[in-house]
Amino acid sequence: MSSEVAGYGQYRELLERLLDSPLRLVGYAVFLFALPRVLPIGIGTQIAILGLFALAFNLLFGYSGLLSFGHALFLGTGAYGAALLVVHLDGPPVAAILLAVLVFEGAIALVTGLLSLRLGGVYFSMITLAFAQFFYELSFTVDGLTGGSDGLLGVYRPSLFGAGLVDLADADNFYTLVALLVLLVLGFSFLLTRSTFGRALVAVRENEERTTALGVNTYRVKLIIFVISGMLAGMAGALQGLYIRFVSPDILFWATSGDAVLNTLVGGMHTLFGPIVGTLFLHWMEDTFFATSPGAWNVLLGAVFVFFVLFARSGIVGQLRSLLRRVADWADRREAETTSIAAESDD
Amino acid sequence: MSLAANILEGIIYGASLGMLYVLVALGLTLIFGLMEVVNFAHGAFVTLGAYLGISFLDLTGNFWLSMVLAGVVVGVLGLAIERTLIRRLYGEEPIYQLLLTFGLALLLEGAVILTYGQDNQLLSAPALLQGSPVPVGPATVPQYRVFLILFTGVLVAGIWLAIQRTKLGLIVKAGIEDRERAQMIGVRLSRVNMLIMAVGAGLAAVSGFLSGPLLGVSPQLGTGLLIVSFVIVVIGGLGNIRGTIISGLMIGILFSLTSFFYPSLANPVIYVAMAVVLLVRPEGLFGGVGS
Repeated sequence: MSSEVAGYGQYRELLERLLDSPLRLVGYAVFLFALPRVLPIGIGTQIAILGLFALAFNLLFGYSGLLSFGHALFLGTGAYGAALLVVHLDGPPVAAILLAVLVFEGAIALVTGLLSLRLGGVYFSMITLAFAQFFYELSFTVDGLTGGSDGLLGVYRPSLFGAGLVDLADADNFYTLVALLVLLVLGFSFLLTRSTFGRALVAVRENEERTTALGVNTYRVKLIIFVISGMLAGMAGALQGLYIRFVSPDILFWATSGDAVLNTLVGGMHTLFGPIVGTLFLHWMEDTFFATSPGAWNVLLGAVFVFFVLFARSGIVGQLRSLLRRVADWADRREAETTSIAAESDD
Repeated sequence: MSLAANILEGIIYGASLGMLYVLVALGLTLIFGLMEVVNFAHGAFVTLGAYLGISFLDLTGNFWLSMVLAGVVVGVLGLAIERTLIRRLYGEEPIYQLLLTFGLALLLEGAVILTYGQDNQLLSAPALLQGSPVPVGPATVPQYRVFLILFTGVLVAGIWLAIQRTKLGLIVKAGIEDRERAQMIGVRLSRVNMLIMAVGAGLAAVSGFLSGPLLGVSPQLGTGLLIVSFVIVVIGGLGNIRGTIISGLMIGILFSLTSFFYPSLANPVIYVAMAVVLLVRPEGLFGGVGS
């Protein structure tokens, strides 16, 4: 009995400590190592890149509660940015491309963020969607630069550091780069969400008024996470452009923003790894069973999504976690019972 | 053609397009005003209205009857969705209703693609309105455009009067103003929600069907109109009926005038307009919620 009064039992405590420890990153590394060995490397690379995109989206949505319906803007401009750099600068090192795209996306996110955050709540979703649509339409308008609806051709993958150092035309090398970046972002997010800033983010999500009253500049907190999220989504876009070696306006279409939302909610929005799990699950399903029937896939996807919103809001990872917690609690109860029975028989 | 004629034509073309936007945005704004739900499925109602209308047209051969049938069927669907799904989430954070209706939008759009395929469908204006263009001052305007302005004008005016002058409209306004207080004085908002959801969905369907001859009918028709409607309610204010009507017309006219003079800028320009409003008057051009 005493263990229940004192809080968790030992199994539950062990589980909580495990769930909260940086050791999780080892698990993520194993997952990313296994991914291209279980699935074809092409699909694995695609899942890792789109998973990174969803991860970046969820840094904003999961932790600050701001639902952006316009993250295609960052993925798309990141892809166009990287592709244009390759085509016009005769293949600069990919490391330089990624840095340039990060800076460029930071600027775009700062401007769109300043405007989108002027109105709170549901307006934010509508405004971000509208801004993404602006860039979608713009990609047709400036067709001299983007190739319009034909898309941007002639993209290739230069080496990582220039002068042929680390050949990224090689599929394995490119996947390793993507996986390392995903791990880096996971580690960064892990630290970020445990920092003072991360706590301020969650406070904004849970109760913005009270957080303001506590003296936190919530507008600035939201703007900072919006910019970080946009930069990382843009980096995912640069990887996407280099991976496909072709960019068309489709990447800026609202459905791309929707994918981040879908993958994140199905995977688990208040978790670090959920968006990647969701991307794996949905992308694999679509690729394996519905490649030729988009109508049927949309019907199923819509139904699955509605189910998750109504009945399983914490997503796959969240549900797995509560299952683990229940198992741990059950183990603790059993142990408590057996010890108390043993204690009684001692009397 | 003279510049004045060009501008006049741009304004009239824009007003006919803008009125179609208004029909969509009005439902969006009423539904949000009453239920605090940003209905992402509203675009799917538009698409569904257009496709069902085409099917009814194949069956009956009558444009007007098909329009009414499409509106009624989609209205009933909207009502059913409110009863069975959206109602479960009242009182929760608006984000979850947005997510729920986003899932419904995907589902409905998928159903349209499954049934009708992904190719564009042809929908012509009724034979009655295909005669020679009407001269308006120095400009000439296709009969169907003139009809659109008159018909949707009467429809929107009717809704406006119903909200301003009837007891039911008073209840709707009270609900938009302050749901809790309205319920406290004994208004059964649950029934008003059903009605507004049905009317909003029906209007979206009618707008979808009527925009067919102008914009062509594709599975993406509704989402395109929905995103423009978002721009309109950001400018006009969600829940602000007058603001929604005026900004819908403004956006339609801005689009048309731009497409007359700089065709490639017509699509992006409305988002620039939104950005400018956000910069200068973030609370919307017409102030807060109400009337």
